[in-house]
Amino acid sequence: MDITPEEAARTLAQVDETQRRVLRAAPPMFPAWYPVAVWTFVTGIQFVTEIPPTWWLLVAVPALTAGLTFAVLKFVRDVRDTKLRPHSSVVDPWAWVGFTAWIVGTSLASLPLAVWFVALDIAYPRTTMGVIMTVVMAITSPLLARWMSGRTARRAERAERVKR
Amino acid sequence: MTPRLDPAIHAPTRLQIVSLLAAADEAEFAFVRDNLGVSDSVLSKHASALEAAGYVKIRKGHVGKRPRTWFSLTGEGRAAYTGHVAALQAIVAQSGLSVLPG
Repeated sequence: MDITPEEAARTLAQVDETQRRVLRAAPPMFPAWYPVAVWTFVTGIQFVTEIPPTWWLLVAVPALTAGLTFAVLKFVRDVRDTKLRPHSSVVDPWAWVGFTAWIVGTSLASLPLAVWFVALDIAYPRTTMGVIMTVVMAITSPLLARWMSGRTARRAERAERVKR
Repeated sequence: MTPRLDPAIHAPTRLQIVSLLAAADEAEFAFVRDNLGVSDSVLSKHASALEAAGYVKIRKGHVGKRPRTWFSLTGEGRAAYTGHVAALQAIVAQSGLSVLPG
């Protein structure tokens, strides 16, 4: 099979263009609703252990656990059935660093927030912290998922510019 | 070993499909079709040929009640793509050309 160098160069350029286009069109890196569901569960646990009578736990904890189990199963199915899951070789490692920092940072921030609310003598401090963190998740999750996809697309474009 | 052009993925549409899948763990039929600008029948034909060559794995499932199809490269397909691209790069490098804009 013989092709000219010009044809080979044009073919390589098309390969790169296809990959760049696909990564730009890729859906967000993870379903943004999932961290919100996890924090809704956490908030629910704080609520039932802080506010209602103790016997509520017998009903609420299994119900919340069932809800979280459903969310985990739906998350796995959504990730598996997404339009495109980028291959690990094309994902910007800094996107995962940012994701990890976000998970660890928000989780750690919730603890001093709850302690601070206790110190301020706010009614239902853990539940209040949970509601705030759920709102924080609802606002930041979609931004983070899009940022991760954007970084990956920009990395593909930068790699192409370096080659040229 | 010198990289060689692979006739199974040399055709432009097949190489486009394989390059798209090389950037993905898995990609859905409609996403591939829309991004490559090919018809359902063209994509089905090439995907089946690539599956027969052992380069592409096809998974069928449902989203809600709608049937869906996903493609992914097999290890063999990924190796063939890497070898094919390396062969193209070698041809370009020998000539002193750089990659042309698409």
